[in-house]
Amino acid sequence: MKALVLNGSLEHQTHLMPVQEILESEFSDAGWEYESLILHRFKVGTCIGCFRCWDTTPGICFQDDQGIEIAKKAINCDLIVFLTPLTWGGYSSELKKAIERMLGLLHPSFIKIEDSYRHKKRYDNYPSVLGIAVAEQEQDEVSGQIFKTLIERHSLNWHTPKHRAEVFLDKDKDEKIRDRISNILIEMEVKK
Amino acid sequence: MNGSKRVLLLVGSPRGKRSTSTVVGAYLADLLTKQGLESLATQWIGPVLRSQEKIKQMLEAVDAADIIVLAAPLYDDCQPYIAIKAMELISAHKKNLSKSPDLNSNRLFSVIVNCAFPEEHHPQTVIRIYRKFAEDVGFRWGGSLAIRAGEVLQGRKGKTLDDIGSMAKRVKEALALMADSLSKGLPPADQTLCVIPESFLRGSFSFLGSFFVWQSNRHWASLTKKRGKDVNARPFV
Repeated sequence: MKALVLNGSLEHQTHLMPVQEILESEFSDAGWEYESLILHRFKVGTCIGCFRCWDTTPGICFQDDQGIEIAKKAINCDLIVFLTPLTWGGYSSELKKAIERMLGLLHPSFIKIEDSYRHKKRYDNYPSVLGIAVAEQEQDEVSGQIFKTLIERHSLNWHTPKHRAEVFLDKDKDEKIRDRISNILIEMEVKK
Repeated sequence: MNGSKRVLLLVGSPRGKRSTSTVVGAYLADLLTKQGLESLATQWIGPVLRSQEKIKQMLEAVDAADIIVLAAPLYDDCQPYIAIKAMELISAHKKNLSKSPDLNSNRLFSVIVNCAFPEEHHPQTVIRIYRKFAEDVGFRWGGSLAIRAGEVLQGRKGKTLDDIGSMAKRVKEALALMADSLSKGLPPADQTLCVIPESFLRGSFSFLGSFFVWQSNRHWASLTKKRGKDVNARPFV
């Protein structure tokens, strides 16, 4: 089993590293393969909304850069972790830039599931999603709730088997973060 | 009296000038100038991000504006990358200016969200994100308009709202309401509307909704086939 951690920290930020290291240690304990990508170190162009990944080179973005490699890793893992600084309840720009380049992982056609239209699957299986946001300072309840809703919505779009979301504060002790992540991974059946 | 108020349109569509976000945002900016506001030069965020000089100009325009309208599509239930990047830059810029916190207290931040999906829940999360951003950087929330099934407006094909005819009627009415409040310096209510009739989604005319979807799915398949490709390709397996 494989996990992919997409670390969306901005260039000057280091506060996601302790969480990334805890995730890696938990995956290692569970006997999973894992790979962590600090996204701002990769050459990933901006999605330009051209839909060529749907109608011209189906499944692949026309931009020949590391955005393609990341998308390939994403569809071939069992669990993807969206690790991001909490950005008004949403993703950081670095994380979102990489996510947008994964549009081709979905099919352009629509399907109605439970009264709601979504894009059809292109692949049989999609990874489970774990969203982890880290707030640099005390945040109000609302931002955390927004993040959890976003992960839920995103997971529905991605046809993911399981999803969870968690928000940590920068000042949270490592033990607390490790305990919570360990429990989440048990809930997601990554760990026993 | 409105002559002293300045409105800035930020376009967060990666498609830039040829986008529904541009068409709808420009329509609102035009209504506001007709009501006596001064319109600052529109900032298309995509090209702005390619140059430090343009970023500086965008931030100066944000500082100069009384009303900021951000028009952007919905990608993955939230803002496109370029809109998030602009928000991060504005936030960092405002934190640098924090010695004069009252500077922004009266500035209105309005958003227009163009969502391809017709259901009401899709744009709700991003509106909350934009609202948190506005609070965080010290802008006054200037209301929102969420346009659902916005692909019908065909902005990416270069159509204007007038070209679309009756399909754009409710969008124009919603923008007129927004302009009316904003021109008075008042925050308009949050609005959401679906470009196609709601009855196409559920109820006795839902077969028409299913027909639109069938037609759209067929379009993708035939377009890809014409290009000699398989719409169902799985390149990463």
